[in-house]
Amino acid sequence: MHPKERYEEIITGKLTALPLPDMADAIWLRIERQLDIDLPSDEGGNMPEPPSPWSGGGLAVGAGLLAVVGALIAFLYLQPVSNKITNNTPANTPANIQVATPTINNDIPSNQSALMKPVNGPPAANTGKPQTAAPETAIADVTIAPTPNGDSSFTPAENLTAQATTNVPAALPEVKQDTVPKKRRGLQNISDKDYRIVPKNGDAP
Amino acid sequence: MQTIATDIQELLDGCRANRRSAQEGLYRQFYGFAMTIALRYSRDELDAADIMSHAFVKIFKSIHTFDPEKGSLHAWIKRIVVNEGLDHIKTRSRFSEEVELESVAQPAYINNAALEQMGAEEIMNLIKRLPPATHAVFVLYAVEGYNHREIAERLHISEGTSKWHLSEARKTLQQQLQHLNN
Repeated sequence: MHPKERYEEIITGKLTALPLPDMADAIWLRIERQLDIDLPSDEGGNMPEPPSPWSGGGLAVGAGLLAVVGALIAFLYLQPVSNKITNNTPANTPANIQVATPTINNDIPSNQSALMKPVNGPPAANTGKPQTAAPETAIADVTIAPTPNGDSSFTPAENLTAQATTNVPAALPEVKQDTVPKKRRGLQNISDKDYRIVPKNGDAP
Repeated sequence: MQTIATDIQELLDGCRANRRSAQEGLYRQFYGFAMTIALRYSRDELDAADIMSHAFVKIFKSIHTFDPEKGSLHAWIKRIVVNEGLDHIKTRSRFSEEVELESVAQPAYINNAALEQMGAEEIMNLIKRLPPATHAVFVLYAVEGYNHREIAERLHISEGTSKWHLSEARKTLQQQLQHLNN
């Protein structure tokens, strides 16, 4: 601290007489909001609590929300069913049909017969590959049949059998045909060719 | 007087227990005192409101560190509000260290009679027109009564820089007073 000069005393005296702005309530609201974040109190602030969804007008809002959620769930649940139906219609492209009937199902009869064949050879060798390989991997192993680890005593035939027995999951899902053929929809015997626009002879450039 | 002291002690206890009613009571009890300080470091009322809200949040968050044996509650609150005011000024200005001591001229003469005729708001408007760093040094020196060493420590500047800012403040005030008188 230093001894004040006269002008300093005048200024200090004048500034203490400054009229105060009437902002006490507004500033307290800001302080309270910040305290609610930094120092939450059990007593709570003066902020109104949000209405309960189970009382008064909140009940209607809650019911409406529930209805919207229910409709959304129903829509999502029904969506795959409608997709399956549309994928089986004859108007679909081959690519779409492939989605409906996975390629593994087409390959399974030939591979499955090989895989399901009883193994008379030596017990399955441990190839070091994980036992839980995906079906696609197993099929690839069967068709390519690489020599594992460069082991000369390992014949390709044994390899094929070993790979097949070790890499294929224990139970492949049995392919089942639909017992009741699905009803075809739309007009029959009409293909994309019928809709092709062919210029008339006179219109040709 | 005893009742007020008891009330403040109760408010302090409530603030330590994080009770909103006690915090609001303490805030309203010291609103005028703290706002007077905040106005000295602000350009307008909105600035002062910013300083006040930040200062009181700090006060309530650190109320458990207040020790009445080390000083009064007024002094403790004043220190926090002044620090918040200086922080507020620092956001507006960088406190330059590049001031040569030779450039500190003799303190300008201030016409006391002219000052006495002015109202509080007029004087405050003159101070607000000072550059932020000069404003801070002038208020700390002329109003709060700190010396240059204390100002230098608070603002992390040299004593020479503090003297330079005070000199600049006096010069500017004198020019403005002359302009007003003419």
